[in-house]
Amino acid sequence: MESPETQPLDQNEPKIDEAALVASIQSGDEAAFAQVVRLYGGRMLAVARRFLQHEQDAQDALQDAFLSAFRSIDKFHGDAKLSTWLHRIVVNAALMKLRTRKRKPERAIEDLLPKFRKDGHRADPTSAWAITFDTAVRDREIRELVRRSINELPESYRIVLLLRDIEGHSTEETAELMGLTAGAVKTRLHRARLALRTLLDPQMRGVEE
Amino acid sequence: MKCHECVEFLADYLDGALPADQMGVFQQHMDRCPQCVEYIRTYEESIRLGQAICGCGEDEDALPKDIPEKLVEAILATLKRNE
Repeated sequence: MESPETQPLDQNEPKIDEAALVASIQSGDEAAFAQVVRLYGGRMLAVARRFLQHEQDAQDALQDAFLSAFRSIDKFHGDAKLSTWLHRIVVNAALMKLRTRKRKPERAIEDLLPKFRKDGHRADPTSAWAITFDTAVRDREIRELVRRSINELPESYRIVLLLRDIEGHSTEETAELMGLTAGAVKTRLHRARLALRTLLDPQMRGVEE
Repeated sequence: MKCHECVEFLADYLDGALPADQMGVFQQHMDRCPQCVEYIRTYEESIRLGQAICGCGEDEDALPKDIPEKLVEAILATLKRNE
C-alpha cells in the first residue's frame, strides 16, 4: 500500500519568500530566524507530539530541532522546501529524544493482534464497519479515536507506523532511522496496523461500548 | 490456507510481494472466506484513516497555529546561548 507524500508544513500558510528568509538567516539576521520559529513552530510541534506524546519531551525536541536547523542552515541550498527540511529535522530530533527517554511499561502488542482458534479460524467474527471512510474523516470523535488509537500502540510499533504510513518513509529509510533490519520494520509495521485495526474496530462497527 | 495464515501473509499480499504459488492459494482462500475479505478491507481502511487524519496538513484539530510565545522565547534564548 502506498503512503501519501508527506505534506509540507506550510500547506495553509500565506506565500513566504523562503529564499529571502533563508538568505537573511544565513547572513545572521536573528529576526529572520525568529520569524521562521513563529511560522513553522506550530506544525513542527504537532509532529513532535505525534512521536513523543509527553508535552515537555515534544517541546524539548522542538528546541533541539531549531538548534540543529540553526547550526546547519548554511547547508540548506533550497533543493527542498524549507518546510520539508524543517519537518525532517524535527522528526530526527523526536527520534533522538525517544532514544534517551526512559521506557514506561506499555501494553503488549500481542494483546491487540487478532485471535485465532486452534483450527486456524478466527476466534471472533469479523463484521463490516458501519462508519464509512468519508464519514469518519469528517467526524471529530472518530478523528480523535484514530489519534488516540495510534497513541495507544506500544512505542516501537507506533514509531514504525508513524514513519512508514504517516511520514511516508520507505522501509529502508525507516530501518536506518530506527536501527532495525528491513525485515523487522515490515513485521512491526504489519503488527502495528493489525493492532490499530483492533483498536478502531468496536467504534467503527458502530458497537456501543 | 487458514484464516491465521491469511493474516500472516496479508502485508506481502498488499505489497504485491507474494510468490505466485502463494498468491494462488491466498486468492483461493479469499474466494471462499468473506470474513477474511472483510478483515482485509477494514485493515486497509485503518491505514487510510491513519494517513488521512494524522498526515501532515490534514490533522487540523491537533495542529496548533502558533506555539506559545514563551516557547518561542526559550528557543531563541537557546540559539543565543549556542552562537
